[in-house]
Amino acid sequence: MKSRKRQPKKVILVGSPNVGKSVIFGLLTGRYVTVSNYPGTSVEIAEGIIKASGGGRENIKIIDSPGVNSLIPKSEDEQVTRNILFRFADAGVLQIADSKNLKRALLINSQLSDMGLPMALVLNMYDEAEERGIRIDRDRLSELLGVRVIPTVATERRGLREIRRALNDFRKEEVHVRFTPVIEKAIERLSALLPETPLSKRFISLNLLAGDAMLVAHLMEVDPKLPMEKIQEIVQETEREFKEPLGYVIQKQRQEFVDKVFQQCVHAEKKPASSRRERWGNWAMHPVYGVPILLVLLYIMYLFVGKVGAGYGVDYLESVVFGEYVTPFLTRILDVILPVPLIHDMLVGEYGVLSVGLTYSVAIVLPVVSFFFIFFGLLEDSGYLPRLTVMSNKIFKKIGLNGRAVLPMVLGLGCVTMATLTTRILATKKERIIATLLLALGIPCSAQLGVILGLLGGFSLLSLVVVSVTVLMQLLIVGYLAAKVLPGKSSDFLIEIPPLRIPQFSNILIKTYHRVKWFMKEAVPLFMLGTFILFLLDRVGLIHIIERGLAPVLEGLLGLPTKTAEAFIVGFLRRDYGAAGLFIMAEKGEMDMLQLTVSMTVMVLFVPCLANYFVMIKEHGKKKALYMVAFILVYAILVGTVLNQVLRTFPVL
Amino acid sequence: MEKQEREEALELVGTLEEKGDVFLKDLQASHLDHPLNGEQIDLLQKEKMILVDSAGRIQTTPEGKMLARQIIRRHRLAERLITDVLILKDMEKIEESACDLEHVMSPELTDRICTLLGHPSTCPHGKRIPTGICCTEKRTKIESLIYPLDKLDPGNEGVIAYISTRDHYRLDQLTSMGLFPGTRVKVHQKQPALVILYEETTLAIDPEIAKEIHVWGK
Repeated sequence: MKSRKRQPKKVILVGSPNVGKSVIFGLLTGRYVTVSNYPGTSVEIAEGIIKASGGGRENIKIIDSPGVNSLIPKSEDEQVTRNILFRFADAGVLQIADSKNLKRALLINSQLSDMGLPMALVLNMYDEAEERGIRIDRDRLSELLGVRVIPTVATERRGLREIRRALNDFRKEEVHVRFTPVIEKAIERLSALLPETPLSKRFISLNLLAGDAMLVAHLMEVDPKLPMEKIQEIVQETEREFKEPLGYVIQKQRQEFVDKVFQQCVHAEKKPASSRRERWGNWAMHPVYGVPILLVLLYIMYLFVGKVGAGYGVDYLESVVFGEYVTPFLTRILDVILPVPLIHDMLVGEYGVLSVGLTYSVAIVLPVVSFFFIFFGLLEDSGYLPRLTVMSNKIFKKIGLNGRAVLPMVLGLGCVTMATLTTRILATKKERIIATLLLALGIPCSAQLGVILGLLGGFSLLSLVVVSVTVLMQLLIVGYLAAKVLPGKSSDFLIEIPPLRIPQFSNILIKTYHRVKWFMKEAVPLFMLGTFILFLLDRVGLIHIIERGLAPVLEGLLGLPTKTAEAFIVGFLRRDYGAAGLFIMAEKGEMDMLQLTVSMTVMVLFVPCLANYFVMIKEHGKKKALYMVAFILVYAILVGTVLNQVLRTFPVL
Repeated sequence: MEKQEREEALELVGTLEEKGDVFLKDLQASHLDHPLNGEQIDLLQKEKMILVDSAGRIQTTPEGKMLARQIIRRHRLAERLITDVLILKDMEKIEESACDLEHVMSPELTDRICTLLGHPSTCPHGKRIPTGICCTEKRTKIESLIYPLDKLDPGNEGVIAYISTRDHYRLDQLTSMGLFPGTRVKVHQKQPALVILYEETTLAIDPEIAKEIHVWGK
């Protein structure tokens, strides 16, 4: 008979943000990665397979959970990790710790130990701890916790084999924090009322006491007859025994326990590691030096995304690959196989789904977006973005957000739709609505930005400045007013600043690949659909009717030729596509500089693209999404009207 | 009326007034530790400390209000002193000692304790501590022992004495980042946002949060 050591079928990686979880995940799984949205949330969960090897006889499924500092969640995105753990009965936990921040890891460890799942502890970035004179007695730690402790330096692949070996030796921790008698008594009373779940009753009781309100819904699913009133009574009774919030009391007692473990295992002779990287890290958030650093980075982004991606990349793909090969090739094949004029026009004509729709999406958008995502990945993995939140916190505070909002806003410069999904990292509903509104209103996505920078910049720098300043002003005005008008409150700004790190190139490529894939899946069909709708409108002559209908607004208010209606219609499907349409008109001489500037501004502010609209509905419901779009539509026209009048009165262009 | 008796009676009226209108029956409610009797209420009226209208509604006179404020201030400061500086943990003992101390603290001593504690704004139960002259003058003549974190200059450090926020979410965020009483914290920079260093963690926080983290200074 085969004697099998304890090897879980699934392993969940758990740890704080920035401890190298995804690097370890990548190394363990090789290329067997699927990134999926966790049900009910927008948080991406990566899943992979570890091939059977060494001690293991079966493939193991491995799940990378979002980084959290506590397993008592207080916001939607924090509860994802807890939920993953809640779902898998047969899972083991591989906790990844930042060796130099062992205390914080032990705090999470003590919560994990209460969960009662088999686990092992990885001390990652072990070299950084050693550099700083922190010596960890691993044997003692392992003995005290009762689980395997594995030192690693993931970026150098050190300790990887040991992790693999540990996979068939997951153990349940036997030491638990003993809380004060009042709390222990409450745990006992609560446990008697709770149903069986993958997580221990002790852990669930503690979370209920600490105020994990969202856990209740999960418990009700398991046991609809849960005596909620009785549970609440016990919680309230226990609360009354303490002058401080229960969650705080529980955490403090955990901390006392952690301190004891820490003192027995860790020797720290303070060696302040003041390296060159640390100095750069400090400069990046310095009130004075931080600004030029930001400007230089923006300029590099412009060169990298605007010049290289939108310039060379687009040129090559559009004029060489598509212009000389793909489109002529498709046209010829089509003429041979299906020589029907209608189908010819539909696929490769003036509004051809292939000749226009596919060309736009693949030849123009793909290179711009790919270059942007590479750059964004570099910013993300280097640890610069948290420093940017420090630099920008004050401005964001004025518009009802805080520095944290920098992440969706910068990502929005890549793809507004994707960024709207990440507004979930903001803590309150009010902040999510403001961020969603501003993203939809005035953050141009990289494709559109590429078109604007590349084309408008080439046309007239002054016009580019006018458009940018006008749009930025609207973001501030609308944000400021929304912060005043909308009910609810803004959240605290509290964000960890990780050390600056040199990004792992492979990691960036994997991330970029997934983002680009996601983007293309969203964008290409919409591009083609958009072109097809235009083709139909053109065929049945509706386009002229719409143009005539919109004439009072376009000609009267905005001073634009009615033909711009076409661009605005496609603009609703893809704003970048619409922007490109405006340029072609300007190039043909159908619009002057002033008109181009006004139409461009309105296009940037204009309603979000269709994909973004769907995501807005998904995130905030139909009603709110509709209100936002209606507001944006009216507001964009209003700003365009004013700008038109101002520019006509003061003819600077 | 005895000084101590008057103070205690006014403390009760003042504390109840914080929550809204006070009626006669509130002062005599049996769940109170020391409900007032009819004689005491009459005396307070006679001394022009309170007014009672026909509906039984109690109102403090300006003088009564001032005295109530002072005694409440002394009580809550005493609580802070006992829990945070003298670190007494037994809840009943804290309450008992604060009740004793409040009657022997002279105005001068009160302001000194307040300054020592860095002019705290709330008691350990989260109730407001009425401000004194020392708070408005931001007196620091005798060196404070405890400072709100946002008052530390960049480069200075201190050990967390207590965290005064009552916001559970905020508390949970701070503790899960490893900030507890006893943690040594250094202020790294204050502009454009406050950045603190502790253990091996760098954290950026709002000054409003830093205000609620009180540290043993310098």
